Amino acid sequence: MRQTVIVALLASLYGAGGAQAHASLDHAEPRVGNTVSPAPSTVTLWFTQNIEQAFTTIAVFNSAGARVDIGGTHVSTEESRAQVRLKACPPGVYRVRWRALSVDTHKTEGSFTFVVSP
Amino acid sequence: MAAFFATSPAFAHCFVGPRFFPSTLAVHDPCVNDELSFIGGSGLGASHGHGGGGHGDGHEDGHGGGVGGDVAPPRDYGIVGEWQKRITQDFAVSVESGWTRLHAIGGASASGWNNFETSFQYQFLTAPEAEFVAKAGLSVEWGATGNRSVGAERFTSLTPMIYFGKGFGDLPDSVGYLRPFAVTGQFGYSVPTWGRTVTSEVHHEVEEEVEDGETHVHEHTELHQSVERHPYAFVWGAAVQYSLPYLKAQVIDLELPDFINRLTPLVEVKFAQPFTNTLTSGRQLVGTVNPGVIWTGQYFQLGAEAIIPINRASGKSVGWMLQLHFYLDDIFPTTIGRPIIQAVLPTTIGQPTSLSFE
Repeated sequence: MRQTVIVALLASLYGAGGAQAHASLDHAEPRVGNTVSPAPSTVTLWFTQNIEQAFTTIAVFNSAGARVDIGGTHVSTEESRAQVRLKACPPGVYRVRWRALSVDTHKTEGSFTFVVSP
Repeated sequence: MAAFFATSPAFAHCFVGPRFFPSTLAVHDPCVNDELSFIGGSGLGASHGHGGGGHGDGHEDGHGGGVGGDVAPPRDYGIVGEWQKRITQDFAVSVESGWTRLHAIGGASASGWNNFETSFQYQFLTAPEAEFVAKAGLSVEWGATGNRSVGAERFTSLTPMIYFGKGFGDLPDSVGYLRPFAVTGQFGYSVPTWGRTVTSEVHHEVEEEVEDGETHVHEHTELHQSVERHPYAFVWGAAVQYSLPYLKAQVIDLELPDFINRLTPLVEVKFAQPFTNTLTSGRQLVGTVNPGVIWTGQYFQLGAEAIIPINRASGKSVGWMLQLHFYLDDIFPTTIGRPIIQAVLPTTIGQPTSLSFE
């Protein structure tokens, strides 16, 4: 009986097609924790899964806590990419906060910093 | 309202804010999930009989089966399977069973199923900003559902447990390389439903004596009884882990190879301390230290750990464990990978219940 249950579960796993998953951050531009110069005009995030436009957001803050993005996160579903445009960023430390919704409604979030050098 | 929750984003997995706690091998992760896990392993067993592939809460509780006394402990090989299913977003039931083969030095061997286990777990606190999560559980090892030849007990054991997880992502950026650290732990008290087991053996001896050319037969029948007391025991464990996925996504992208970026090195410890009813078992602490690593993929994870006994009562040599763990919530997001009942308020506190930055 127990062997039958295990075999059935493995068989159903093998046959699972079209599965989605949590959308984790694959990489970013500017890169996570890195120093860039000159100041970037956009922040772009690439995810490990397809993401939804709705509920996927990026916000960028300066060291004083003020937002420096202009809002309106743009999502490219096919490329699993989200992007937001920035205002002019003088040298300093900036924090990116993001939340993403994968196409199967799994939610993920995170934050990281990058530095703009003179 | 029900429609809102039915369509609201799912959490699942063991995400707590930006922190992902992988499913560890020796102790349970602190979340409720839809998951399927297999752990196999081997070790030179201890006199109290903990298996190489043990993952549950009642295996190292000081009243497990196995051999005792002066008999050399057998090497054990085992595989444990566990399926956990969320009933609501925060409440899950898991079933677990395992198969063990004991191979004694000298050639004798035995194999069979361990007792069947059921766990009921409720994730009562999730604090994403602090990367902290906690759940309570009750693990039941059902007596007489396994094979006595591999030490499966005839009595049922109940183990209420508390589990927690804490990530250190809230440390300041000045110590950013410490932020990928996290610790998980579990504490419980194992209660056997039988206080003791009395084993009776009848010894029948026949002696022949030749006297004056006549043979006299003498028969003796004796009843021997041995009493084994089953201790109540504190059981606890912890895992210290360093998440390279967290380092890459939250602290600094060092552009390491993808395989490296998916690793989480960790050290787990798991102990049992017999506390009361210890007349025959003694009160010696038993446990293991398990260094290892977990590789995390999109739909499954792989893990490997060494099992290092802390004393001779815990084992005679170093063993090993391997894990294959499936994320059912990712593989079957719309069917068996989601809670049966979804319209229940989650226990998450703090900001991330909202998807707005305002």
